[in-house]
Amino acid sequence: MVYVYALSQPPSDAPGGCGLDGAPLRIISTKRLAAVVSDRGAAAPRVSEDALWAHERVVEQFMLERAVLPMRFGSTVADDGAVRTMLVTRQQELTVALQRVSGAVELGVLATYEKESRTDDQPAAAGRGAGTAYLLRRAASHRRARALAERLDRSLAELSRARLHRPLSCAEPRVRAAYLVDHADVDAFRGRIATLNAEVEDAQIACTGPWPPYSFTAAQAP
Amino acid sequence: MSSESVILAERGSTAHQRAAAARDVTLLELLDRLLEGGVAIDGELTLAVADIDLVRVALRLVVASVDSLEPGADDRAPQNGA
Repeated sequence: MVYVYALSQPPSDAPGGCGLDGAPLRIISTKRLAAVVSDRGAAAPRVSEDALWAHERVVEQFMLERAVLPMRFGSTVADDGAVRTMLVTRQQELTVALQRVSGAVELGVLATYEKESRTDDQPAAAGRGAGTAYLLRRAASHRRARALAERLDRSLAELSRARLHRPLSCAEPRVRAAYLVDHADVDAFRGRIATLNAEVEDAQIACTGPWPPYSFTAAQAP
Repeated sequence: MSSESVILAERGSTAHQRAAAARDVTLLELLDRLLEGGVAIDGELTLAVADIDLVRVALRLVVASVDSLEPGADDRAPQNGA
């Protein structure tokens, strides 16, 4: 089996270092695109913190020198031929996606704010017998998150190429977003986050990254 | 990226709590990107990642732990004017 970490234009040199389970890295190229891969046995990788970081380290090392499209964790195919087939059949889409992220990195923005009521805002406790109150609190929380997200977007739009708001699975008092930011604007973006964190009194706003552009690998903005 | 690059607000909690929260935030951000983002291989070529459901459970636990370590959660008075 072949495990795929990231795609790029064909690199001029082979990557150094190791990937998952210490397997050496190598490149599979077509005329226009390349994949950085390592070989493994029959099994798909198990998810663990160490394995996730091993994948992330390979992508980060590879992106130091070139624009990359990171692969989703666990991307395992049968053999080199399957990798080449993917690179050829999806060449147009992948080339456009590479151009979209070229010269940029992804920055994560995480905002949390005080819950209206800490003790009884737990869905497990409030969901039964107080359904209406729970739903009202949940709606208020969503309105608050939307207002905060819009304020972030207004302030950060000029410093980013694109952004993605991550859907939240429950009524958490938080906003999570990813922004695609030019290398040259990363420091200014972080400075803007610090300013927002100071300005917005009832929220904690933090920035993570730079990350490979995991949230911006589609050829078109969603 | 390293946990040092997570900028968390300075007010409130102890250094130990901040370090733990920063680590959890980084892991949450990593999980989210590597398991939900990135280029996905076409279905017929790929193998399912083992344990994916277990990971989703773990992700929810991380989210819960980040909530409980929210900087300043313990020692700031509730604000009414929000």
